[in-house]
Amino acid sequence: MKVVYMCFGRAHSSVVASAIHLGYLDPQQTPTVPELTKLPLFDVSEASDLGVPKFVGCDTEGCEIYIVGLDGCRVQAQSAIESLAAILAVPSREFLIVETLGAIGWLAKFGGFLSRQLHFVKIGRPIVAHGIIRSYDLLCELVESVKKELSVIAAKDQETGNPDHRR
Amino acid sequence: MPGLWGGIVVNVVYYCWDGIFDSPMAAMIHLGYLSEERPPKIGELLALPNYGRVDRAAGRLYLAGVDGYKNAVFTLGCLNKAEMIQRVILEATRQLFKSEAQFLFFDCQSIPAWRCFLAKKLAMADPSGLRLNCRESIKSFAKIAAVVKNAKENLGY
Repeated sequence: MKVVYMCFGRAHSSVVASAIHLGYLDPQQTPTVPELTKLPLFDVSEASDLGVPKFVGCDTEGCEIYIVGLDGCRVQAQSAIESLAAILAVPSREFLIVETLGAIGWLAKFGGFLSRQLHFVKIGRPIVAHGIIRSYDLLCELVESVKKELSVIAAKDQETGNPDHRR
Repeated sequence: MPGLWGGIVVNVVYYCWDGIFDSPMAAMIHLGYLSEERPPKIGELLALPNYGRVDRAAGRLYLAGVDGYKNAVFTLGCLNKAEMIQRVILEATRQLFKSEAQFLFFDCQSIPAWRCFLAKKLAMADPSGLRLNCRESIKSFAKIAAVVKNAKENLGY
């Protein structure tokens, strides 16, 4: 099973969501600004990274976690990935695409714009970190819902005897 | 990872703004449903199974058919994000699905985007709205046929 967290620039919300999923951030405790900025992929992506799924690790259940930035064409790109999976004979239950941008507020988006688009990193990075902290609960809820969905898929696969649910 | 159709060599993708007019016409020329030599008639265009399909979503790859060399031919609508959509398809193939599948993209955009948008909206209200672009498609036949010819040269036909 593969989970793809997607956002605008693969720099903030998808990075934090994947870090929560993989256990690098504690969902019970809101992180500090330094904790967020120390995440290896936080606020570092470039334009050339857009559209490229990045593998960030496997969770405790063996699911592969990816992050991807899809700029302003998230709907079309999601359609492209889904149709591509059908072409490559990858069953739809073997991957899950999760939009993370909806879980963050305007402050994180504004900080991200300053840092990534205008390259005002010193100003933008702390702003986006504060924005993420304000939206942290929503991001945790999102990741929790993803984990629940994964467990439902796994239970269904066990019922139907599909051995590949963690492929 | 095997594809849906065993033995597919290359996936040929014709793309345009909305994937409704230019790319289906190119795919049909490629597959031999339309002549490479003469422009189609309006009736021929409207009889094609994938021309003017307003229900088609941008970003999604639609199979038009498999040619005589076992290459799958797809149509794709990219709006104004062709470069990004292509990158997503190529990178997701390699990084996400770990596949060696080959994709070749050919830009066959000929009708202006505003005209495609307008024809689509009109056709959603009444199918005769498609006729707004039929004549444009016929006018752009030479350009689209040249794209198909180039594609076939790239494929070594």
